[in-house]
Amino acid sequence: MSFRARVAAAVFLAFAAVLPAAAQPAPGGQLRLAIQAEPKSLDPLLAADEPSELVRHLTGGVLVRLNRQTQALEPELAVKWSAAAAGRKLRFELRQGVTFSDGSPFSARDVCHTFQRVMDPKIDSPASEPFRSVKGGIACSPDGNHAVNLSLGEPLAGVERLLDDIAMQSASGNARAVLGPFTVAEHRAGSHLLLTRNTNYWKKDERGVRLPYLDGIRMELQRNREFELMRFRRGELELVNNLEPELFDRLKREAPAAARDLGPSLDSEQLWFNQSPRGPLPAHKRAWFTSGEFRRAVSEAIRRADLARIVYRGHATPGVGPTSPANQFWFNAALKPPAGDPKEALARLARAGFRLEGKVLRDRGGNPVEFSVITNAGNKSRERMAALIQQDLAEIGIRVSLAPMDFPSLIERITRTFDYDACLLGLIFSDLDPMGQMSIWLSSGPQHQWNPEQKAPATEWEAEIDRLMRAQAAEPDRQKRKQAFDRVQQIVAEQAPFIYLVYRNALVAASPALGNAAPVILRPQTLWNADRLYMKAPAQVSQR
Amino acid sequence: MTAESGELLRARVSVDYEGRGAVLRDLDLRVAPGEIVGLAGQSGSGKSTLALALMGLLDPRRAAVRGAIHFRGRDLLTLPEREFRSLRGKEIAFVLQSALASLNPAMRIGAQLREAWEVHRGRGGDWKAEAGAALEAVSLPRDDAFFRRFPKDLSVGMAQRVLIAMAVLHRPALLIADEPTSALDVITQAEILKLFRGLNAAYGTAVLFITHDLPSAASLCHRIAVLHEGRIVETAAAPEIFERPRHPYTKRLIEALPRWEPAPA
Amino acid sequence: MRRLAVRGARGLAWAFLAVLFISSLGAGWLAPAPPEKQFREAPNSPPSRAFLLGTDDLGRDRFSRLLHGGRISLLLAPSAALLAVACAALVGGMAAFGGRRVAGLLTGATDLTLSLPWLLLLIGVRAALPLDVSPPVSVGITFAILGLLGWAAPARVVQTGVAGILSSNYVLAARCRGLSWTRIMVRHVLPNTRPVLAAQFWSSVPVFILAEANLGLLGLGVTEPMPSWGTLLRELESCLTSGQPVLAQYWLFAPALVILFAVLSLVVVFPSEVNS
Repeated sequence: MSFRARVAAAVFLAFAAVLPAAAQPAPGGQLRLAIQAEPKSLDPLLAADEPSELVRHLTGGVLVRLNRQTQALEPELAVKWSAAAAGRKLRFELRQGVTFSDGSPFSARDVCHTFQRVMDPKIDSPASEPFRSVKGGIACSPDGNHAVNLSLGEPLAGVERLLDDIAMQSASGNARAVLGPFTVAEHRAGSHLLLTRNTNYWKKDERGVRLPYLDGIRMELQRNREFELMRFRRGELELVNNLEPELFDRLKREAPAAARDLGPSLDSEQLWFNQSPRGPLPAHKRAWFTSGEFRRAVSEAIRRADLARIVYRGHATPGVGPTSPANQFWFNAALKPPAGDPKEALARLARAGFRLEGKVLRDRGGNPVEFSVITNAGNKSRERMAALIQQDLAEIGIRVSLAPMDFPSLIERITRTFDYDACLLGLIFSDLDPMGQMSIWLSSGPQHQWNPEQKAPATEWEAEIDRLMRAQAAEPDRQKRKQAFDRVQQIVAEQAPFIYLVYRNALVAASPALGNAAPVILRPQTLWNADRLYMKAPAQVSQR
Repeated sequence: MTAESGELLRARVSVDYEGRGAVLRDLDLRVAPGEIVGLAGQSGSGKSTLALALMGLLDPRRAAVRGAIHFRGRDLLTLPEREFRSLRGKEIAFVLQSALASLNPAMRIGAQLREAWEVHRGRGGDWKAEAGAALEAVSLPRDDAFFRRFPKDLSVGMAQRVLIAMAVLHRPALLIADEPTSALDVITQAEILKLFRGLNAAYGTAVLFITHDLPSAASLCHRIAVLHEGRIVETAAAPEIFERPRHPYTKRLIEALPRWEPAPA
Repeated sequence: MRRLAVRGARGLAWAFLAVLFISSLGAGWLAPAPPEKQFREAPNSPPSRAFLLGTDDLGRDRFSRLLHGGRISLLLAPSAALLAVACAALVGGMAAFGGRRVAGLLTGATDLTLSLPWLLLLIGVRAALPLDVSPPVSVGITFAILGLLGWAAPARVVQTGVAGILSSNYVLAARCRGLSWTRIMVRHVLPNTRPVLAAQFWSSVPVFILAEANLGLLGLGVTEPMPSWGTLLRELESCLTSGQPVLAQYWLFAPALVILFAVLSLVVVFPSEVNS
């Protein structure tokens, strides 16, 4: 489950702000890092997996770019844009004098060619997904050489952010011609991918030096993260993304300057109860799971701080809603995660008709409260979280049994057979905008995991979420959208259909030999500003 | 074909091994009651095959036996296995070449003797007295301490005596001994040969003595048959073989001997 | 002198097993803490007076888990090994004794068992089991899985061993004495397969202790929070494979040493044919 799309506003930000004043970036040098999997496709329109998206980010030129640091949209190949007809018409003015890596000039024709390919059902590009729901589709028409008009059949909130995913392609049909800072020079399956500088890249730094500074980026396939870290320590790699807490702590001890905890990421871990009427649950269990008081009591009994401290060694942040504090605009700061108080939870359960008899919690019918939690086997963090939750809930008389299982079996249970009590899983978010979460929150959505694809909302609060999500989708005003989504987050915290536990912190490593490194929580964490990264001269490194 | 009177065993057999061809070809062998017959031949001549064929223990999946083996008037080749089993060890006994390997290492001597007794006489009989007598006949102690021993506590010579004791437990009419002395030192060899002679005299047991050692055969046997390439090439009384060998192969065998001393009559 | 040493070793082995047995049985009284109790203020602690072998990553007292884990592992692994070896004896014996067709069939079955994609099958087993398997039931299931999975490799060894015994002189001699096949199997073949079976049994026990832990990766095996030696070994395994200095957490070796000595002691105490 990954949700993509990107947000924004048009603010030009001078990069000088993030540059250390003393260092003078010098061109040259090769950056080395490891990727954990082979990119599935080098066609930017087909990228759906992390390595492919990374390659797209490094080689593709886009009309509008989400600044990963400020989380604002910035002009890139489009110097400015405007919306008209209640968001149904968009006009982009293109940057002039830009050429592809093969030397051919970039023009409006290329933009419309790219959109044509995005929407081509034969290509079936993942980038077309958000546009498919738009009645009347999307059309692109050139307005001279340096401007295009996009028209949509109906307004689509936050549409500009989607352009971050669409790398412009040459209308000449040369698939290798790119507009980004790097081009793919060599790809050895199972070994490595070599990107070299696009000498025709249009960006220059403040001193007028052509970007990128680096001559190339070498990505080596290295599935074993222990080895990756070992090679980083030996100075054979300059960057490591998405570190596990244990590895991160070890690195922190050995090389404190290189290890960076960037704080909470967008990725959440959550527990949910099966509320689907399609599952073979006994009536008394279904009654617990569909009780908002029961779910909230469970949420209140879990000591989230312990999960973050013990399971993630402090590299996670407790949470209670779908939006992480890392999401600067959309985070609902009014929601506070419960501290984990068994008394509070028991009081709530008592109000809902449960009672504690000795060490066993019983419902009105006298049934002992016990349920199983499934999670994907082999994921140590989740298995440990489950063990801690098991203990927390034992304190309020609930017997939890753990059932780790392989991922495909788990997916089968939560999407087809609905034969489970509760599930512990994580969500990886890459989209800041709630538009990317429509399929989660709409009661008819396939990712409305606790009770997916309902014909009509099963509860009043789900109906309210449906209304709010639809309203914000049709609302052009960003502040009003935020109000609607804040309310959604509040309902989720109160009703606890997803019991959010923690947001994992983004943990990365960057070599001190790398200049301008400014890792951020959004992917591609360390490489978002790849065109500005440079290798320091040895003297500069030793000065630090 | 009928067995002539005065014959204990008459075997006329051919044996083919799968993949190896004929091992015995129209072999013809007779043993009279109480007679000691030597079967001499080099290794690979088919001696052991003949012994197994007589015991009915050739693997039918690997060896094809043709002809007839008459023992006390019955053709063993057509005998049902169950009936054959009641003959084995009781009327025809067999002493194998490697004595120590022929005893079950996981069983005490007493238990093995008891089993050999009870298989034909059933429980209840006084196996200890019978086994004791047999042990005495082969000059072994008959006390309980000996019964409690395991094969690993015996010397080769002792093991061979135990096997012979087991073989004569039921006073068989025929005792087949396949190279019973080849693993023994000279003195023990002589003792064992003496033992065979003594048993033959005491019980009237006929002995088919299979060996590659012509002098040993000559010292023990009344008659010697010479086996060569699956055929009996010559049969004669023991002294005659040495004095007037007729077949060229017999001559070669005798010439190959380092020295020859006349056998005691 | 040598006999004295052997006797001494045997005495030590008995003593060790006795201590292990008593401490496992009496884990409820002897262990300083319940095995599932999480000391959340002290996860991953090094050994101290409060935690003799430190705590695991959930703050559970490792010493207590070692004592309690012994209960399960000492019972589970040998029972599973017994089941596996019994199956191996049956299949291997029949393959060696039966005709060419039976042998071919059974050898084929053994090869198939060894080459089956067990991972997928075990995943299937997990999928077929109910979700709320209680820890004691999970112990039983684990035992059955290990026993039924572990027979194939020993079966091959047993087949070779039995074939050797069947072609031995003492079996031939027994036949010459007029013994029936049934009797030969019971009195001569079976007793002499004991060393082979015993060797297979003793080598299976430690393997099963570890295999139980690895089943956990598939969601099988002994379920949380019940401790087993296997889960303790897995800690050591992940520490060793992490590339950290081996002796940095030397106390993690304690369970491995206990298992090693337990198996050694068992071999010393029940020696006879195994050593010869």
